Parts: sequence; C-alpha cells; structure tokens
Amino acid sequence: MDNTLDIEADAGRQKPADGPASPPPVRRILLDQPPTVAAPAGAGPAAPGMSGAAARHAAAEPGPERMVLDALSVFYSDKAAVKEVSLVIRQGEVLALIGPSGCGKTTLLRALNRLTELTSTARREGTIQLDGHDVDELEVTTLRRRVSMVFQQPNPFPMSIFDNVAYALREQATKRPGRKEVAPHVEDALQRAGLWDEVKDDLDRPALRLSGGQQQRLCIARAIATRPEVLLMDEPCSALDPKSTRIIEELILELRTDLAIVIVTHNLQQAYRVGDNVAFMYLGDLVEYGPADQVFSAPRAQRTKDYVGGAFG
Amino acid sequence: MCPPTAEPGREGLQSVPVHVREASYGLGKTKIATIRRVLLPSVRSNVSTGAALGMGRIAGDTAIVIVLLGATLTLEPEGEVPGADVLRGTGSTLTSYVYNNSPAGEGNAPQKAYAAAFVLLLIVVALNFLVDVIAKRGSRTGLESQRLGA
Repeated sequence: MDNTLDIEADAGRQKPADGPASPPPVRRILLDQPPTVAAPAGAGPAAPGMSGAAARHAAAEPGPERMVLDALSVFYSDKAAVKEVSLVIRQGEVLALIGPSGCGKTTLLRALNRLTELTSTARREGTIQLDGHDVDELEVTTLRRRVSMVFQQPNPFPMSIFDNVAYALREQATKRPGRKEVAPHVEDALQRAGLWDEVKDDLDRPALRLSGGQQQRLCIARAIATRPEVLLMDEPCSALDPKSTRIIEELILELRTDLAIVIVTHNLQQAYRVGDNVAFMYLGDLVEYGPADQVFSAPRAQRTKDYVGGAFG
Repeated sequence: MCPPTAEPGREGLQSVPVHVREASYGLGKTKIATIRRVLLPSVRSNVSTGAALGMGRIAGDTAIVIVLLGATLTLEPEGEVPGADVLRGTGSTLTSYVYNNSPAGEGNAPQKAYAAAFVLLLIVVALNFLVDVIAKRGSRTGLESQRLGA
C-alpha cells in the first residue's frame, strides 16, 4: 500500500439525490503526509445561503474569552497526542472538536481541567489560562469545579438522584451543608438540565434506575450544579438513542448562553447543529478552526475539506 | 484468612469503571471523597460478602485453633486486663468444643456437643442474614439493576 495521507475523496463525486443509486465514493486513508495546518480564522461572516443553523450561528455574538490555550501539547510517554494547539474558548459559544478517532480530541479536552494528570505517563506543555489565570496555579479541585466535564458513558454515582447532584455541590468542608441548604441548588441544576419534571417526585430513587438519556442529563445536571464557567463534553450522545440525543442537543443550545461549552463529537451533523465554532483536529494538530458554517461549507484546508466532505457531500 | 476476605472487595473495586472515578475527580472531588462516597458504596455488598466469608472460615476452623490455643475444654484467663485476659489464655472454639465433647474426643458428652453445634449453626445463619441486610441496604443505590443490565 502506498502510504500517502489524506482522506482522499473521489474528484467527480456527486450526491445522488434522487437519481439512480450509484455506488458510494471510494475514500482511501493515506498516511505519511504532513498535515496541512491552516491559520486560525477570525470570526468571519457566515456563508450566505445557509438557513437554520447558519442564521443562529451568525446571530451569536462572541462572548468574553474564558479559556485561552497557548501552544498546548500533551504527550503520552514520548508520543505527542496534541501538538501545539492554540485556541480560544468564549462564553456563550459551543466549540465543537471534530476529527477522526485517536487524533487527540479527548486528550485536549481532558487537558483543560487537568484530568490528564490522572494518567501517569501523560505530560503537558504550553499554557492554559482560565479567566487570565494559569490553570496550574489554581488548586485542581477548584479548577475542576469551574471547568466540569460530562463523559461519553452516562455515569451516575451509586446513590440517589438528589445525592448525585448534591455530591457535586457539597464541598469537602468539615461541616457538610444539610439537605435543606442544597435542595434549591439541586432543583435549579435539574431544572436547567431539563430533568426536574421527570424526577421531582422521586428524588430519592437510585440514579442508576433512570434510563440512559435521563442518566446523561443527570450527569449534565451534576456538572452544571456548581455553576462552572466551562463545560466539557466528551461525546455526550454517542451512547444514546436519537431522541435522547435531540433532547441533549437542545439542552446544549440552551446552556450555552451562560457558559462556554466544548464538545467532542464524531458526529459531523451534530457538530454542525450545536457548534458555533468548529475545530478540526488531525493526528494531534489543529488543522482548522472557524465558525461552523465556514468549516463545513468553505473549509480552507484540503484535509478538512476531505473530512467534512463525508458529512454533507 | 485474608485472601478470601479481601478478594470480593478487590474484585468489586476493579469492576467500577474508570470513567466513574474520573467523573468524581472531574467534579473537583479529592481522592478521599471519591473513595468514601463513590467507591465504597459501590462495593458495599462485596465487602460484606468478604467479611462473612472470613468469619465463616474462622468459625469453621478446627485444626488451626487446636494448634494455636491448645484447645482445652477449660477456659483459663491469663493476665489482668479484663477482656484481653480471655484472649491471651487457653480456651477453645465452638468447633473444637464440639469435637472434644463428641464421643471421639476426651469429653464424651454428646448432648454438649449437639448444643454447641446448634449455637454454631445459629451464628452462621445470623451471619448470612446480616450479609443479606447489608446487601439490601446497598440496593438503594440501584447497583444491582445495573449489574443485571437493566
């Protein structure tokens, strides 16, 4: 096999809209070519002719900068999983990280709240700033309360629904706040996660008895209960059915008004639906970053074009 | 004695997925809080099973006790500290008591042997019941529905 890189789409590829069914285009993954890195784009005007999501994306005002990544690299042993990525995460926007498997999206996400430190072989270079402070100078527990995370698998703790949310709220103080004190915050978090109406009558039910979609919304409620500034989501819908996925996507769009959301997804349509800005990563490099419409409709890098070509082509 | 007691708990801890721990760390919790509030409740039934197995092993052991305590029928305390003196002195366990009082042993008092065997039986039943209660309390966490794949 000739190891050339790039997901090479057939040149004369057409979308068989309603014509006779033609075989799907042949796409080869070619290795060994250095990735082409495009300069990060400023927030340009959305491409005309897009409706729905495009209008929404265009309407979004860039919010204040919450996290600034500067030349962030993460290594596992000596292998670089993320290479010198510089990004800005703003409040009020959803940043969607897309890219093939194993290209460093999740690692980048985990570096943001220093979860990579749990892996003994991981090493990080470059700086991450949260509201102007280097995250290394913050206490790790404080950082993770301000930059919280939702995982791929719904993973409520083995306790009641109420306690799952309250667990996140209660600090490790000598005097733990009682149920009465945390109850309003628990209700608020469940309300914002859109789960309150379904569970308000039996908050003492074990959380593990909820359905998968409800469990994931509970995990979101748990993550937003501490009023974090940034919410990290690692493929939050990949274990869910389409209906639950839709509910969670709507939830993401509601939540993004008060916090910055970074979402890793393999689903390009989802990245387009929920993402205001999209960052395309390939083999650890940030290949392209820009507004969702621009990345999907007019990508500047060839590699991005080839990758997103599968989504709407 | 230790392996059968510790093994169920160890297996239980290993069965807790890594992302559940990470979720706790991800909420800004310390290692201690994660262990106390997430890991230990997850392995509650495993630990109680291990404890019951360990106690069952001790209660049922005969040979070790004979070697260690001498296993005489007379209970002779040694030392002045109340409570500890009994532990330091000679004595026997229920199983060696049963053996010694049976026609095969020195006592030859079958009625005593039967009585002791009955007490041993009660202890074992009580232990099993206790484990059941602990495991039931654990069921409020809903873990068993997850294990069944529900």
